[in-house]
Amino acid sequence: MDVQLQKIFDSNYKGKTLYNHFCELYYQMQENKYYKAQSLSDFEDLSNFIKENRFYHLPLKTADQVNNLQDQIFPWQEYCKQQMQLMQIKAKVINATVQNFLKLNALLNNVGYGFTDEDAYLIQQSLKSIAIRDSNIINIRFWGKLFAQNRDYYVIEVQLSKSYKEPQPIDCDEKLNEYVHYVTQDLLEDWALLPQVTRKQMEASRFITYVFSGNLNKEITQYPIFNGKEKHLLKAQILRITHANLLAPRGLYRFDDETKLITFEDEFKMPESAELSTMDGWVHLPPNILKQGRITFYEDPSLKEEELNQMKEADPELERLKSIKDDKPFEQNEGNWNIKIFGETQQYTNQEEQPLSYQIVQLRNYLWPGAITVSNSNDFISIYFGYGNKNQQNSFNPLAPNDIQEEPEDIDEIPEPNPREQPDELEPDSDDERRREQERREAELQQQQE
Amino acid sequence: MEIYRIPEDLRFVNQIGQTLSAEEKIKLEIALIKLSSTQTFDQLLFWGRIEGTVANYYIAIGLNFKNNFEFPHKTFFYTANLKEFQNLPPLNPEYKEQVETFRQLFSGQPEKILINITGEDGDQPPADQPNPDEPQPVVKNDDDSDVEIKPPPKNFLEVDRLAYVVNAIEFECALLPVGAVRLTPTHELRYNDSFEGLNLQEASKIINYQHFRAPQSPNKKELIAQDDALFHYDFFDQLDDHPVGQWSLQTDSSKYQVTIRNLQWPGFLGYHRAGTRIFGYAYFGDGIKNVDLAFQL
Repeated sequence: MDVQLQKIFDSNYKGKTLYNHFCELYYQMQENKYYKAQSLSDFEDLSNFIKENRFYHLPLKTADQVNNLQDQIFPWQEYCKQQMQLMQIKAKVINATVQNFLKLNALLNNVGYGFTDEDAYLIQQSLKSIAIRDSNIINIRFWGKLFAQNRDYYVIEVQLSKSYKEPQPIDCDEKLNEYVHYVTQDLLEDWALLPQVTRKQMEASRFITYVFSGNLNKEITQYPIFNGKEKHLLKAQILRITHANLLAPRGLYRFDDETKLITFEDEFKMPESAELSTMDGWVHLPPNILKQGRITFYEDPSLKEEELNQMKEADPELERLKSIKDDKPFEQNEGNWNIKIFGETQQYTNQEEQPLSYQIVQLRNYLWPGAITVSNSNDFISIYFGYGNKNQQNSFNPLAPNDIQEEPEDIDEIPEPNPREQPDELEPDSDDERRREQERREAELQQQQE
Repeated sequence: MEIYRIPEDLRFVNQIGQTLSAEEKIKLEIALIKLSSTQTFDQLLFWGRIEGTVANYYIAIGLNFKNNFEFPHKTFFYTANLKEFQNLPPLNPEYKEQVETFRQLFSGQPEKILINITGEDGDQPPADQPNPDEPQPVVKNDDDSDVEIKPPPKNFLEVDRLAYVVNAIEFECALLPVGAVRLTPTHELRYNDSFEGLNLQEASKIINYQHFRAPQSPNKKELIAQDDALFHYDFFDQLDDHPVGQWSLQTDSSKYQVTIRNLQWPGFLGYHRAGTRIFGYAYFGDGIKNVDLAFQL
């Protein structure tokens, strides 16, 4: 209390302390013979008068303002609190491979993409916070940013050791839902898990082009009809982009034909920069998604074998870890990927006479604008920044709706029969029928009696 | 984007995942300084970067406010190698519809021939061209000797396509917060020195931003021609173009930094920090218009 009083006594407003004010008041009361201050209200009037005339007057607060003084939240308060919370996330041990996004963002900045360092730091903390949440996570990386009309989505991709078993229709592929995604619209807020997609939804997503609105639960009104909300389409597009664009340098992974698993190669040496700057050095890591919406072909038991074979030929499964050189070329370009070299292109040799290069390679996908992979001789990162749509060379032509069916031919109308006499009762055909007729008549009579 | 504030303003561009690398920044600064020393403008702005397959284009605008009635004169400059800025060629209205159908990425080679008129050896025209060798209206000299001689037909180079795209984006997208500019009594445009920025509530409403081009809608044209136009701040067109929904206004976590994006030209970004005089716009993208927007909303 003393400290508070002392503070009040020492505080000054425009150079005048409380002491100055009292001196002034005392002086006025002495000198001013015309104003005899005799009561508290006079005293206050004089005090106010002095303040106004000496230009250090402050208008009195109203009752509302005084009572609500506590509630005047500093506008940045919420933001500061959330950010502090995010920055303080720590765990003892995290048993997952968390991408070092902070370092990789610097790599992205060197090719003209990426975030500020501050945002990258926040993303790294977010990666950590999700890794802590679930102990089944093996791998976690920042997938990219999907722009939307109202609020953008930040996406994180996660690989689990045991996937969640959501009930799915029979024709869906479990392997397609191997990658699990979390989204958020604001790095300081919580992350939401995206639902799994069905085969039909994957198939339908190929025919529509859509700009996300920012509302996960929005109904999608497009033709052909997509059965699902925005979060399902979001997941479908994310999967398509991942499966088309996630690259790895040749030789890092090995595909085991028997177990059908991808594992790390035993002796891995990152390819030379010269090789990394050509399409030979890179392979697709995830499997290719078929037009059907699955990874492996689904044999619908209700279809005939010829139809199935035709569909299979139109939709072949591709081998794993395929080089990107064999991707379908985009228009007149050679292949689907544009390769550019940034950074220092000087060739150095280190002390062991091995070539050393600090150059940075950027691979851009023509078909999916916004998907890039950047690498130097130590790290590589695949990331996506965009609206989530393919680059259609021709303007988008929506699928035409089915032809309107022709009306069936009208049946000829014949006038209702109205004979003058009641028609003769027909003889029943067999004994059974006779019996049934009799039973029916008896039942009717009974009903009438009741 | 103000040329002296490029490193700070780039954090707005980071919202769309784009930035300038350190090498680009250094070279750009030198080139911009060279440009501002050879030509005098009231203001020199960095307009943006268009990514190409081989090299990128960097564009700058020079604005001249003085002695220009109602709207400043804009001059565009481009460079592909970041050594020296050159003037962008003037627009040739003949190819307007054709340019809008180009969906190929820019290559980064300004002299690349896109439409071959003269029949010289050059690159083959892109596949989606209807009639690449459609002849220019040929002057019949033997009929009328008074007919004016038209200039010899030129090939349509990538630089010309660049000129179209830059002018189109500038026309359709360039924006400012309301209150940032004002008219002088002689109807010249100036920056408003007493503009303190939009406050927190105003900054997140798209009605408080306007186009930065000579007004096109009739009521704004009237407004700017009136004598008391210098007392109003909203004499430019509103951001209400068709298709509706092409503008996307977003804030960051702190709600103070506002970015406005256009969905027809993905890569365009207008920005403003509430409560300050920081505002501007830039384009970081591949220079291809999103004509499917009407299907996508």
